[in-house]
Amino acid sequence: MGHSRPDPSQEADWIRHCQSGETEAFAPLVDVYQRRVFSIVYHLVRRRNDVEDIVQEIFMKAFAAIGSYNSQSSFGTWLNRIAVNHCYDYLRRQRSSKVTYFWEMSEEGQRQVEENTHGPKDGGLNSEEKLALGDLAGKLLARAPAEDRVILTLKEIEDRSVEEISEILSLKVSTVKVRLHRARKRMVRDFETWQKGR
Amino acid sequence: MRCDAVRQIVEEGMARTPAVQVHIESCSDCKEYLSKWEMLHAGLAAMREDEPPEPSVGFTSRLMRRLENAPSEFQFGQQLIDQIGRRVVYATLMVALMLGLILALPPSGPLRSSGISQSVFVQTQMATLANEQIMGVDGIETGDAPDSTSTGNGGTEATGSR
Repeated sequence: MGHSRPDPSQEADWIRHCQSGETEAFAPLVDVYQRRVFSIVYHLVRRRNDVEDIVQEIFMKAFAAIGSYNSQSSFGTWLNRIAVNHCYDYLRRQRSSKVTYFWEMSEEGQRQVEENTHGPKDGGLNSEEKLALGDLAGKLLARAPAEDRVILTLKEIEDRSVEEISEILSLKVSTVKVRLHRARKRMVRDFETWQKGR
Repeated sequence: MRCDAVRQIVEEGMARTPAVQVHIESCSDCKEYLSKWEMLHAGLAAMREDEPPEPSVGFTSRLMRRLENAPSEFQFGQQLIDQIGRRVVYATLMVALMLGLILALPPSGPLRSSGISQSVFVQTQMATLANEQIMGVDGIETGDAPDSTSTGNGGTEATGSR
């Protein structure tokens, strides 16, 4: 299943065949891109059990729309755009969240994690604390508006560059930067609100 | 430096210049904000380490079966929506814009009232002319020679009566 990127001319060939209605030509494209789509979907949705169904839906949508693909961006970027839009709709429909570890920690435990975060780089947190912080971030992301969640996930978890994000979301680079800052601000504010309410 | 600019620099992981560092040291709000952001950033980085699930065995073949079994209408419908969807949106926006303009224009504004005021002016002129003609032909005005003032009054009356 670990398919590397194919020769561009071969990829273009598969796409052309798909555009003329040959379903079988879609299989190699699925093989090449499925891991990438699984990763985006999982990081955005964070529901292990739902990921596969969602990815299937995304590939179905991609095949149905492949006639409109015009090679202006790479096929991977085009597919990422469909995946992100699909997840965005999914997230808007489901804004529920589950109880996670960090939220169950004692105040003392949380203070400890906070102190260790500001310790020496990469050496301050043990694996349990990392897990707790991951849960905290996940919880806050789950509460965030879908727009914030998408952009933060692409930048902070998927580790995409601002330029890549601007291509995927069809936005200007400057707009991506502004939205990222706004999303981070909202996340910090949400964290503060939660801390005050404890 | 402004707080927002300092926060953005730190969030982006850019090098902290002395000016940024001085600001952070002297601004308790920024210090607190950045301390919280660093925690969340570490949390987000931890999430990155969480590996996504692998596609299960036979994922591609199941998807292909589903695609082949999908009714062709589905594919056609999807393409149709892709093609006409945008046009419908544009048309709706145009209609909304026109309606907005119609509602937004004041009833007596230059655009709306030009036609109306023109017709009122024409009517006034015609009434004045008619009055003049009537006075001239029937000789109702028996007093001194009709001057411009009396004609004007007659015109005004005619307009007023309408």
